[in-house]
Amino acid sequence: MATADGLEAYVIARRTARSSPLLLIPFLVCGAAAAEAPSPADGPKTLGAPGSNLVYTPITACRIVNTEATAAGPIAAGATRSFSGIGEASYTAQGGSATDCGTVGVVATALMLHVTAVTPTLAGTATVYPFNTTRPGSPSLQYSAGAVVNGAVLAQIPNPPQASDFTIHSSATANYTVDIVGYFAPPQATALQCVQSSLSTLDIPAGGFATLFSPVCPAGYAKTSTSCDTTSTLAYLTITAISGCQARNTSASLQQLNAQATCCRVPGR
Amino acid sequence: MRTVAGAGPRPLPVATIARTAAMVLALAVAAGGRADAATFAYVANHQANNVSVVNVGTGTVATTIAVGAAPYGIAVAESRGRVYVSNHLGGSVSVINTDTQAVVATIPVGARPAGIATSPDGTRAYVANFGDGTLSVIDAVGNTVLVTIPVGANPNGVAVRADGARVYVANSGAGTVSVVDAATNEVTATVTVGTGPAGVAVHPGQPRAYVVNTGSATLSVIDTNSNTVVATVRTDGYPTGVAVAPGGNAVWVTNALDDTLLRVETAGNTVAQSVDVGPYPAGVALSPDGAVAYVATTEGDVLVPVNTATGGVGTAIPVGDGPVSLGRFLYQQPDGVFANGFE
Repeated sequence: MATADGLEAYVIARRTARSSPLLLIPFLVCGAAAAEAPSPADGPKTLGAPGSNLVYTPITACRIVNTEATAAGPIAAGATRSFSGIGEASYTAQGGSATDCGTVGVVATALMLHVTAVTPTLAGTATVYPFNTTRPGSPSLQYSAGAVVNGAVLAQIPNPPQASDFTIHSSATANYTVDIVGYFAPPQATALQCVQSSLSTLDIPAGGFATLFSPVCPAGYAKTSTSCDTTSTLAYLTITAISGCQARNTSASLQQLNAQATCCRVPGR
Repeated sequence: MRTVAGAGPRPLPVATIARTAAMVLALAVAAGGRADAATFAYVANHQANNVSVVNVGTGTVATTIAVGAAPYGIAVAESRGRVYVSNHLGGSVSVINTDTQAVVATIPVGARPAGIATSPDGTRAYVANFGDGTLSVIDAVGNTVLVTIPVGANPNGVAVRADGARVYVANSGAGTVSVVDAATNEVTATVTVGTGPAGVAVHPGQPRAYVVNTGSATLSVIDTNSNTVVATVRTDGYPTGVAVAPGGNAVWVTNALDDTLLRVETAGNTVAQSVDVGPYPAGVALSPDGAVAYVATTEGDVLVPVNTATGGVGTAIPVGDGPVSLGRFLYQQPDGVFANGFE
């Protein structure tokens, strides 16, 4: 038997001896209920793991450090100085922007920085590393005397936050500017984007039994549930799975079975 | 009189070329026989804001003198019993009386003073102001700035010719060396060298000046008669400090990021030797007899003696935090004893 939207349906007509009382199961969502809850033994999932599956958010370059504009001045040879990189109302204390750089309220675990060494007195290196950790052996920048050298630095920062976010070690006396251009943050849970499919219908004769599949989902969507109902209060319906409905018409007249799919996808392109 | 070896608690890596115990022993003998007890190294401790006065004969720190912020360059004037210290982040020059080991004057100069040198008679001190592109000429008798001369961008190392007639200033930001007439206090020539020139030194007897280029990893040899570069020596790494041996046969170059001290023969302008001296060597100075080169290692916080004949490394002498000491920082007390009995 062909359904209203062309979906194939199987109908087994048979006579029933008893008159069925009312049994209506309107738009029962079964897909979500069928999903298996993760077991703790499964461990963290890669997708969405807050410590590793980070989400990068670019921002307009914003100056958070300019040592030349501070009372402390250049970082002396062999010395370190620590800075805040995110979440401040203003960066003027570090010689930077008077704005918050759009990062107030952001909980990040790494910052994308543009670091510039300005006219170091001698040749040397700059190393940018997380605050309150051991300085790594490999530097972030290498420069000669009197040069202006810059580079992009991906700097991990403490999470939860500490007194500072990152530290710069300078092997030669030099001024530094630091611009933040983005940050990495743990992923945020996002609601699925769901649509309802068209309705498929099927007539079930008295005493008949039928299976009706809900319509296919648009491209890129996955079927998460099917809602089933009947136009008659006399029909006796049983629902089988996500993809369709099975029903037995226990009434004495022709009944119509309807199926509609809920189709969802992860938001994005 | 004691030797330089065995004085300090912290041994350093031995030379790459000559690293046997026998050679270290040879250094001890050589240095012990030649390093006068009255020879002192004035080591500018950049992070500690002080100067360690090291008796290189005993290998010990005799005293420590507080100076300005981030001391960087050192120059000595033995004829007048003075040592001059540029305070890089203090914008001043501290004047130390070597008889009392006390700061007797602090002279405001330009922005971020770096290298400093004195005239042979000790009446002038020249300090390069890295932050504003000038050279301050100091009346070392009156402790005042006589004149401030524009030179190139980010002037760094300074050296005075043996006759005192010319002053050479390495301009790190410009890749040039400014030649200043000491009589008129005017720039008479500008010599293009490599990228990021830092230290500069002059030959005691020949018309040569040597400047290390931190960015192009070379040593430029300048003919001071013609003010032209007559040779360029590949050093690799990041050459930083430079000193000419008193005899003039060799130039010693610190290679900051390679942790080495290089010996360059002046006859052929070739690198003849490389010695491991520890992390981030900066300033280098030769003992009066040329037997020992002393290297301040900024990240090792030590003064490292190197036997110039063998390349053997002696026991490092702990100093203050972050020694730089660019310039001629060895001071030889003429009579061996300071006026106050300090030795």
